[in-house]
Amino acid sequence: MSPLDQSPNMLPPVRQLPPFRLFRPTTTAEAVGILGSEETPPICYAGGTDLCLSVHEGRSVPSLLTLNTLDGLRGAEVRNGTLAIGALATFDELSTHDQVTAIPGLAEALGAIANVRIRFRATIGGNVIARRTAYEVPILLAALDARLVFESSVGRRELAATDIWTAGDLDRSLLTEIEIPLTEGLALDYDRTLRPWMTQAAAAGGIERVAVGTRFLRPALLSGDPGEPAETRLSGLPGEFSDVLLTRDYVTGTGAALLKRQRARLAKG
Amino acid sequence: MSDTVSITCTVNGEPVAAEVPTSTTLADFIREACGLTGAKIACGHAVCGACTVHLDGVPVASCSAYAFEADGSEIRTVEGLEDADGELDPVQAAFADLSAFQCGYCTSGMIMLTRALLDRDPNPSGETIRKWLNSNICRCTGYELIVEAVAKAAEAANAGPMR
Repeated sequence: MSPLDQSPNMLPPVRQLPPFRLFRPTTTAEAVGILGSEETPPICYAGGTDLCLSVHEGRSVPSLLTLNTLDGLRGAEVRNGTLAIGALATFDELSTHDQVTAIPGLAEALGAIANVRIRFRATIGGNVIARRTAYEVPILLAALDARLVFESSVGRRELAATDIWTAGDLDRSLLTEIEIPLTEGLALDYDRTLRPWMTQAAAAGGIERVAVGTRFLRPALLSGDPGEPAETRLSGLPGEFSDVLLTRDYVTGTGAALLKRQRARLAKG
Repeated sequence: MSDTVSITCTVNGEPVAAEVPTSTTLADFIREACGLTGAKIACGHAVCGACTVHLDGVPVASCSAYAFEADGSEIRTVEGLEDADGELDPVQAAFADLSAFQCGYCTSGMIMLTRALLDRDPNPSGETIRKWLNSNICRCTGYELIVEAVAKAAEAANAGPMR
């Protein structure tokens, strides 16, 4: 027996996670069929970065449906006046995708989220469907007036990105695409503070749309005339917009400062 | 439906076939089924990067990927970087020359991340090096020597044949 074996501080082996039923569909229709027909719908798996985190937080995984065997739902394309983004497109893919340049600032924003290693794996759809207030994409999409396209065994459903928080159970639906309407002059700027945690996306082009998120609060969407003072825009935050780390006054003041910077960058193009 | 999954892949160029529980992580597959312990497990949820390996050329946190994803794929670990004659990859050599580590726990992840960077950008700027290294955590060195090692590795790789 080695000295380590005798140590009272020696930890027992890390527990192996229980095996799960694994589904590996090759088409979207097959995946949707499995989600619709299983008594308990399997958890969808793509980049894995959020799922593995949630397993560490105690989530059990009785069955898993990997989306990485699907042959589509990637890339991005401009069609019919919208930028359509496949839900399985990775941040790395989108940050260098030529079609994403249809919205100035979007590729840069997606290339600034998380880090290089995670951007290779994490998908834009996973960031949305995780429904974590700390994640950035729902905030960007709120500012861009995006719509989420779901497929399920009962058909196609569209949802405004801002409604992802209140849409109820989506376990039997597959997020397939994100559609962003390409309005005249649309451009995006994304900024954040990390201590305390606050994320803000501003979209220019016609009506100004500003989405403000914190670590624990669902994003608030503020819109109006771009000529209005930044302080006026942020004053539109809901009265209860505060959490354990941030007061509403802090968000209003910091948000106004961020918005001035964002407007200046958007004006420079 | 079975609770296990068959995996056929290559690990550092060698064919591997195994049957593992579906919930096996890529890190456990590499460390336990393949016996390659260079990739370290630390945070367990893709934050620190100590477990970084290449899956089809892409640097991934093997603690946060499942082994079944490796089926039909090519895995590369730090053990597979040196050549058949035992000569270190320029990245390994630069880390060793500059002693760009202290406890060494993060080192294989740093080396694999750097290898992936240089495979894509043989002449990275200082800013690019720092952006990439932002993916992995070292609690000992303060990063400066690691940044220098990456720059030195790029120089050395460009002076000789690239792998």
